[in-house]
Amino acid sequence: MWSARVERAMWALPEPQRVAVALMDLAGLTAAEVAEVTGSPRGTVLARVHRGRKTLARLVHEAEQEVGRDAP
Amino acid sequence: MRHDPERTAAAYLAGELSPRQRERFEAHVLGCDNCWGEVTAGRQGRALAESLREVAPQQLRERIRATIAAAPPSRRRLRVRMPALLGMTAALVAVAVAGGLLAVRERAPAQPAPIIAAVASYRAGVAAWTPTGEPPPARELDGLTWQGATKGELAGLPVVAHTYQDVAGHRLVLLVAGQPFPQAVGARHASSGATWTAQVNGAVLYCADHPAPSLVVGADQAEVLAAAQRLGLW
Repeated sequence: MWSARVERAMWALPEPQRVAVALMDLAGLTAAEVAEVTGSPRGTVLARVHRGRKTLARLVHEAEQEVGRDAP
Repeated sequence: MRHDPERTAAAYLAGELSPRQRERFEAHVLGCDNCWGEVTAGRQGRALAESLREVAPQQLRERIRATIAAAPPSRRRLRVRMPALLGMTAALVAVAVAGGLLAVRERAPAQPAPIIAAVASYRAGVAAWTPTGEPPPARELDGLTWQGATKGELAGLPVVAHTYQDVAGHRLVLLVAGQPFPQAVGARHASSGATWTAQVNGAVLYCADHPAPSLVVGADQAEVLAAAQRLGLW
C-alpha cells in the first residue's frame, strides 16, 4: 500500500526534517513560516525540507524494490 | 553563484531564486547531473509528501495554521512551543495516512497490485531502477524529453519503464510489459479497442495492448492522452 510506505518513510526521517516536510508539504506552510515557528533560520529550514524530501523518495523507492524482489 | 547543487536546488524548488537566477539555473540544470539529480529527488519527495496532503483532514491543517496565526510575529515562538508543534505534526502524518488507507479501501477495494505499484513507482520515480539498453519509442513527446529506459517489477510483473520529463518537472512514464496489464478498478473504456483510462490515487493512467502491452502514467490527463496518441497506442 503506497500510503503506508510513505508513512513509514516519514517516520524514518530525523525529527527536524520530518517537522519541516510535514509543515511545508502537508500543512502548506511557507519556509518563512516554518522558520518562525521552529526558531530556525530559513536556510536551515530549506535544507531540512530538501534533505527530508530526498530521503523520503529514496526510502519509498527502496520499499518498492523490496516488493519487487519478494514477489513470485 | 557558487556551485552548491543541494542548496541551489532547495532554493529553486522553494521558489526563492530571483527570475534571473532561476533562468540561469534552469539552463545549467540541463547539463549538470548533480543539480539535475537534486531537483529530481526533491520534486519526487515533495510529490510523495503532498500525496498524503490530498487525504489529510482539512481541519487539522487549519488548526496548525490558526495556532500560528493567532500569535503576533514576535511572540509566535513563545506561543507555539515545539512539543505542541511536534504533537500536531505527528497527528497530521498519522491521520493523513489513516485517512489515506481508508480512502483507498473505500474507493478502490480491489485495485490490482501491479496498478497500485505502477502509480507508486510513478510517484517515487523509476530512474533508479536498473538501466537497460531499450531504445526509446519516441525521443520527444510534446516537449517532454526521453530520459532513459530502466527495468523493474510491478508486484511481480516485469516491465521496462521509459521516463519523459521537461525542465519544469512535468513527468510521464511509459511502462511496457510482456503480458497485458490488469485493468484498474473504475477504468473507462475508449470507444475503440481494448484500451482504458483511469485515475488512481491522483495519477492518470492510459493502458493499451497494441502494439505491446503499455501503460502511460502521468499527472495530467491531456498530457497523458497526447503522449498515448503520439506513441501510437490503441
